Amino acid sequence: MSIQVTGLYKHFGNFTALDNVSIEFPTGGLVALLGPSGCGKTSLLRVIAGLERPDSGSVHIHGKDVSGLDIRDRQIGFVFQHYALFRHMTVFENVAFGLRAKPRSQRPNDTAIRAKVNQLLALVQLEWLADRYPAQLSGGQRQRVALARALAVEPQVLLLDEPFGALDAKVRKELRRWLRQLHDELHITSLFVTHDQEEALEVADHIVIMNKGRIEQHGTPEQIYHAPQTEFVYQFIGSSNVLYHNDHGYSFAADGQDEALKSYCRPYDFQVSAEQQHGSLPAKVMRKLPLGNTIRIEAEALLPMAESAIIDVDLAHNDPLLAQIHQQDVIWLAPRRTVQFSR
Amino acid sequence: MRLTKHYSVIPGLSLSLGYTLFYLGLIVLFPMAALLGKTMSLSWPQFWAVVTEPQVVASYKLTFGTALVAAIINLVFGTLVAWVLVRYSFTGKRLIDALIDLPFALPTAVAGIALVAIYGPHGPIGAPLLALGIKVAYTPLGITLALIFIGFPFVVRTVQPILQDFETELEEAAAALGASRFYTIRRVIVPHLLPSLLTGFALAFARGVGEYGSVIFIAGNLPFATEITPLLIVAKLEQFNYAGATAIACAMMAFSLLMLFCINSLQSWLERREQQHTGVMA
Amino acid sequence: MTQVTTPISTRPLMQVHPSATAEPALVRRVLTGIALLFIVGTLVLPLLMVLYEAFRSGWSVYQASITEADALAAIKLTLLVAVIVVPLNLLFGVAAAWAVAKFDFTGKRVLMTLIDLPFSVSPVIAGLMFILLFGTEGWFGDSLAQLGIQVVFSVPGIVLATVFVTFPFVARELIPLMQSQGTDEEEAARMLGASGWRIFYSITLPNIKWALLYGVILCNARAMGDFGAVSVVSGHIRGLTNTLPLHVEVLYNEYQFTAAFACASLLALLAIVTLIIKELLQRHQSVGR
Repeated sequence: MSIQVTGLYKHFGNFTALDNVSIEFPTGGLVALLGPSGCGKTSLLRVIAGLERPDSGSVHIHGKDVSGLDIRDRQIGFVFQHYALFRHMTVFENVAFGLRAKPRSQRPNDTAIRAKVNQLLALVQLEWLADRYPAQLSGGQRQRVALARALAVEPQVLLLDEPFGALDAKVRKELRRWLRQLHDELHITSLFVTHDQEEALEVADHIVIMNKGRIEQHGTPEQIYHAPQTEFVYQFIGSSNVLYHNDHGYSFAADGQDEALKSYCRPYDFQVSAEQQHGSLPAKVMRKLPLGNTIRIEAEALLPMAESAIIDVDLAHNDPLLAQIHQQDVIWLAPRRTVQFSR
Repeated sequence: MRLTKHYSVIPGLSLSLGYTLFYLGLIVLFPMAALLGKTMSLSWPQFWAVVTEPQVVASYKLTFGTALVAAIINLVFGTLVAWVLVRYSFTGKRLIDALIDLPFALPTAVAGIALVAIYGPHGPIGAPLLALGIKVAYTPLGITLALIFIGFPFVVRTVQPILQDFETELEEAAAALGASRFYTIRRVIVPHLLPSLLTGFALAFARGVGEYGSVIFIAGNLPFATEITPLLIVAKLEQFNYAGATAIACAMMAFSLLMLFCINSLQSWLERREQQHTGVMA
Repeated sequence: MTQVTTPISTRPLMQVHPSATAEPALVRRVLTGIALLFIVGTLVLPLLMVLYEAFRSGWSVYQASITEADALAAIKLTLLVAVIVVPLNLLFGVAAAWAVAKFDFTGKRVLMTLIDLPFSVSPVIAGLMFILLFGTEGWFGDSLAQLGIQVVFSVPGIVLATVFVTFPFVARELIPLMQSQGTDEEEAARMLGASGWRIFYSITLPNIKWALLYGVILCNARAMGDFGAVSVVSGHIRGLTNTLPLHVEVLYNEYQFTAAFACASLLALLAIVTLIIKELLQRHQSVGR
């Protein structure tokens, strides 16, 4: 195991950023630390990097305890959320910085530095920008320079803090694919922080979901998506509807029955029909949203009580039923598959 | 003061903080302790007698009074100048903007003799005013003029950046809601500028109270009439009355620190109020 | 030249009336006029007056006034004081800004207030403090006298008083800038293996150099021009402990007005040069960002 953290605690005043976090990250993996803001994912990354010191607990990298180790000796490549490029240095100088900062005995000569930097710039496809300053680059280019700079010192692990956070949607998409390809080429153990579950599912081969300073679940994207182990993970990873299950079947409301079990159902897990079927629940169509391959229907649950709930239902765009239902129509929903979590 | 550090990978805290505290102690805190120590050598009745001598009290009135008037005038004209510099364009604007800092750069003694040359009985402005029966030099009016000069940049330089960052969208919103220009200024712009106006005012006032170089030439320095407190301290020193000089210095510092404390509290109250308001909105 | 005018009918109906977000032209002009008049009256006029009075009796008198022995001694002393004081406060300003802007520690607000404290102390009181410490009746007066060291009414006293009154200038310029720049670049450099000094001179220093220079020239202007504090500790010994501003006062009080204004014009020149450098630095800074 290349990175192993054990029993990490970290408090900032009254706020608990890390609450007994222990986890091992596989060697050569590309891992996403996923969670809502304030869940502790960035703190975990910064503790592993050595930028924060945990209140207690330890960090091992390649079997070596690095807790007391100077940050310079940890051999970590770190890409900051806003890149932290040295604004008064050219792209070339930025990438060369780590090599030039080495003690004289380990420092490569000028030709070697030049060759190494050019090789890295070729890797991130930015050779033609070597003499530019960071202010003259686009966001995506800065991101890649930051990556090349981090890779220059041949780190054992690569840590990226919200690597796509500051980019616009299109560049973000390109860069995600590019990062995945780069990782497949280099096989360097990498951790990145994100709050975007789609990004995590698409890029990472392993996902760690955090909430309130604790790890909720970790595993492959398939495991996370298809077998969420907690309520939080289920709700965080995709859209969901809340149902209540009792002896008579499903209902949209708890109806004051304590024994009613809270269940969840994904929008695409409803059997939809225009007429009442056995065990189906009525809802009134409010809006139809085209989402490409699927059409999402926002429907208002028809409840015996005054309170209302919006139910999301997904249908394939070529579903013949779509032609029959219009706004204000009542549709009948029968859950095909639901998930329950023990309290 | 207990210093507990929070972890950081950046080196040099103990070196830089250590040096900072050492130098601060040596240059600022230690001499101030000497001032307090010397004052303590007087008994309370002695101290009280010195600081409430009629001549001294007259100097407080003059010093704080002229500083207050000058600060108020600077508040009005400083805001006006900041407004004109930020909102309007005219030829020579950059030059004027650069000139604002002149009182920071020009030694006070130079300002002092120049003001006498202008407003003195034979000066180009002083002479005609004297003919009209208005005596400027060697009167409180002259002192106020000198304090306006040295305090002028404070208000402009504190208000200007706030006004620059002020979003005109807010004004447009107010206008779109049908507010008149005057109403918009009164209800939208002024409340926003208030903390910086107060800061500028406080800085100009504090500087005016302590000012010496530019004032003594134009003041006339007549006891009970045109003698400012800093000059009185110098006079006591020249008579080797160190205890007396120190007592007055202490009283004066207590006054200005109290004054600054009040203004700071008012300002942080204003800022807190604003934060609360924006907090509710967000 | 063709002018494109929008026909009134096609203009959007919902238009905010310009009078709502700007003042009428007349008001604008009047306000600008008052502001300019005020600036010319309070700032420009004194500056012109100094030059006028200095050159009133002709170039040769001017030249004689500023090359006279006491004047030269005053100029030398003023330069000497600045050469000692500015580097001291520069070093302090950088150290203080590094500690305050790059780290978190309890008591930081108190420290920042204390750094600004000399600005709210009258220069006369600043001078008085050093007399109380080093004067004949002062805490260290006797022991220093036995060692044969004279602080007050001598150059060391002038230096100390000037250090006090110019204490916050560099720190005040650097702290807000370095706080706004954050610590990411320094942290990145650290992770890439840079030592503390290397981080400072190759990452931090290039980012703050213009603000640093700005602080230095303000500090220098005040160090050369201070009157109140220096006047208290100097003892006004002609040719020995008179700085240029004190020399101006001495000449003025002896009714040597032309000589006084000639010396004053040198200080006015210092002010003008300071303002020009400051303007250039500000342009640099706004381009650099």
